Amino acid sequence: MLGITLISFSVTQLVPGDPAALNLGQSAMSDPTIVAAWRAKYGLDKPVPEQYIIYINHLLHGDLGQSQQSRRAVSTDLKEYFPATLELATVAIFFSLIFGLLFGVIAAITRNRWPDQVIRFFTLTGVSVPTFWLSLVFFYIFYFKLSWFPSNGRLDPGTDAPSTITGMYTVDALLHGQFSLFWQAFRHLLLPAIVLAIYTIAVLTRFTRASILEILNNDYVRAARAKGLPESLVIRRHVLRPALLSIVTIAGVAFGNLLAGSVLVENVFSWPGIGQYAYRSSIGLDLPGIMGVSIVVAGIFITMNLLVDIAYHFIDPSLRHA
Amino acid sequence: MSKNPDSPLRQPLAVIGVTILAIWILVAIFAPLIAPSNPIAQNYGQLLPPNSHNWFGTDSVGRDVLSRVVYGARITLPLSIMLVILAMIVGTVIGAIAGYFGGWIDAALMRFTDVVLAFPGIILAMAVAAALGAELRNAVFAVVLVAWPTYARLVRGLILSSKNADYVTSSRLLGASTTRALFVDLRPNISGPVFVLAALEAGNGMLLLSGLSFLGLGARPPSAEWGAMVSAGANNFDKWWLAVFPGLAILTAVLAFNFLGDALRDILDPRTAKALRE
Amino acid sequence: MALLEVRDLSVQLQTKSGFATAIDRLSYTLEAGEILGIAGESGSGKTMSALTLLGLLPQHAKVSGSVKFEGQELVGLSNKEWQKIRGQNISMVFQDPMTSLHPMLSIKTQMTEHMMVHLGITEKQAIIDAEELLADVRIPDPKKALASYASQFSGGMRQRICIAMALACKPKLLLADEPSTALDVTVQAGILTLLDRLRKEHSLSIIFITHDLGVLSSITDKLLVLYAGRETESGLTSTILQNPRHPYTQGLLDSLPQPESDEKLLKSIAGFPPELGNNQSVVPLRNDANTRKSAAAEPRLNQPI
Repeated sequence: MLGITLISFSVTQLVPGDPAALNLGQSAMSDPTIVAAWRAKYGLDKPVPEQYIIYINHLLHGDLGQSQQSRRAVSTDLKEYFPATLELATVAIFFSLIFGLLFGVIAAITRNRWPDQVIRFFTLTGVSVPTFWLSLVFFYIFYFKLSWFPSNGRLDPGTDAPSTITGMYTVDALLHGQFSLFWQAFRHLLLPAIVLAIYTIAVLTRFTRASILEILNNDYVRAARAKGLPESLVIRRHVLRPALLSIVTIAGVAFGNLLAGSVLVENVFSWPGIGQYAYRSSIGLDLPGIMGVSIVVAGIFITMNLLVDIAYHFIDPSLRHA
Repeated sequence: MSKNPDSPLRQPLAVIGVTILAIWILVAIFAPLIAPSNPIAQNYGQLLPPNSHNWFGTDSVGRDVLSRVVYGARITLPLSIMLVILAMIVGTVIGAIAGYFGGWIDAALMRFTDVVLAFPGIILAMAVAAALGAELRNAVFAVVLVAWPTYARLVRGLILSSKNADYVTSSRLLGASTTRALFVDLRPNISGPVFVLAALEAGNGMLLLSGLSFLGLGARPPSAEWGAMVSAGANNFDKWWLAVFPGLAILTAVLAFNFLGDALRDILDPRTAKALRE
Repeated sequence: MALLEVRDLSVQLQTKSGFATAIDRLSYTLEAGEILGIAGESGSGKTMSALTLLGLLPQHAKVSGSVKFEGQELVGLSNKEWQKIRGQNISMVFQDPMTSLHPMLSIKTQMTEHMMVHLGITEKQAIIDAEELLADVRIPDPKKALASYASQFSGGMRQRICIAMALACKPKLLLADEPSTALDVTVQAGILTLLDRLRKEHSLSIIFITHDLGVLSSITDKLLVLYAGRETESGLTSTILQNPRHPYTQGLLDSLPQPESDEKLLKSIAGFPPELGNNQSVVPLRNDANTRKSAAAEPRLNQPI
């Protein structure tokens, strides 16, 4: 965690440009007093290591600094942007897990026969397609030409968001009992979620297939067959459980990645999630913004790791007795 | 198709992959001969869909998309390959040092590697590219920065497991220097998996690079880089030909890299491959 | 009618360079309550011969000949038909107890699942039976054992559990593939005694596979020596051990460590076992392996067993 802060801080120091120049206007720049005041406000006039210490200090107090662009506390910004990504990531991972596991198992069981070949072809394609391009293509086909899905953004233009409980429009709408609003928000979610899911499904399928094939070679599977157990039972009970261990790990990583905000997809669909926030911060050289996003993302990964560890304990009961 | 499961003919993907890559490389080399028009010749007011003269249509300033895609091969393709090679070298060196010398050097280097690895690629690359200024060169640098840890991890692991092998010890007993041990004895074990990884990662590198360009953090106009071309299409998405063709170019190239990588892995890492095949 | 009648059993496997004969015209008979030992080096096809009796060969294997179990022909059975026989009529104990037990399933699950499938009993009843079985193989505290996991047991205990598991549905034939090889010598003796006792108590037939003639001498009634998938010698154990007629058998006997002798080096059979697929004329890799040459050639020195 500390390392992450160190690295992101170093990156922000790389900036050859002058953040002040970027964030203040022309006329403001010509007045040295204003520039100095601005710098002082953001602590840019102090030596670098001291800036870092100050930052960490603030961090420990839950203060992520103030965004240079939006003029609000970064934490406030993030609180707004994060739920959007969370909604998107959750729907995407939901689809991905279902299809990824399904295809992976099918591919493993029918190895080298035609279902496997077809699946492998599609997964290879899924991993190779540029997400930004796919987003555009889908947007064009499904929105522009077919009008199956609504336009960009989280809601139709002119619609008010439900009052905030979690920040996730879908959940909030449900909690308020506003079902049509929920449906609208959900439909807006679907297209970007599908694009994200395509990549994740491909990854999960490949991984599941590989895990299962590896396990099928194990002695205990042969022993289970030798007991005369029907093949479906062997797969369900003896093969899937160990496979689940590695799958859970990779699913955790995938979810973490989705949560970290898929910048490209959010960009195309104008989805105001933390990916977009990271993008805006980078472009605007908004140092606190960049730092803030990095911290949050690091936190996400650490949490995911924890969740995966907990899942391990449920999947493999023998760990409790080790 | 032969019944023999191990025959290389049973890996049509590898053949396809190499073929596609070869085609793109040839296109890149012979671009001036292939492209029907000058990729940066502008022809204002001529935003045309694909027609008999411009097979891929023209863009908002009248440039022929087909030519731009063809010339784009000269940018995206070699840069992606270069980026992979750079990442491979940096990662291998760091991983080798960590693995070979062990101790606190190993711990420190690996901590550093893990941190960089934990960062989601796009965000770090974006930040770096933005910080350095939106230029193709910087984008490449950013992607290399994001990509090297995978190699480092791999190489370190390989070195750790082979460094105590008998043949290395006997070589050192005979007086081999560290350099010799690293280069001569350990290299054969390492080069295989490293190259497989490089092939597998080449596709990702290209995706990241073109992604950065798409966001405006890489190539700049009038450069015919594929990612940047797609972003031009994003702004006029009803002019579908602007985005579709360069995107297809990226897709086919990355696909080819991935086919190749998969096949290489099957060949050079037969143990896992066999388990996967049976 | 003999319990098991094997006639001209041949198994061919697919390799990179075409088909290779893993087992070449094997023939033997087994009566109820008998123990047959199959001896040979690694690669001789001994494990393969056992897997054939359970239909557990790789999909691309070609099996020819006849295997009759209680009069029923086993060659050519469908997977579903095999499932009725596996675990219930014919059972197997594998070489490595560390990997044959599932690491994540409780012992209870592994002991009872096939009982419930084959015998149609309830889980409650299966648990009671399982406890009895574990007690039979001398596992202390069977109740606790059932609730435990494989990693909590030593190698010897695991193998006993595997044996109990194999006998759960009261099969008539037990295939034991090097059941004690992965264990140390003292534990080995325990396993052998156990198997012998079980044979007597349940009138069980056992096919015991190993490279260790010393082990076979103590427990088997009949012996079959396998080299490169072919029988080279067969007959009653006592006869063969006293008067081995084939140089290969003699070689195997000689390679047993003799604590009383003055020799400093263990004797081994010169050369290397033949590779799979090299079945036409087995060419030894070193010059002085007359032993192997005659192992490869006809005729065999068999008494039909």
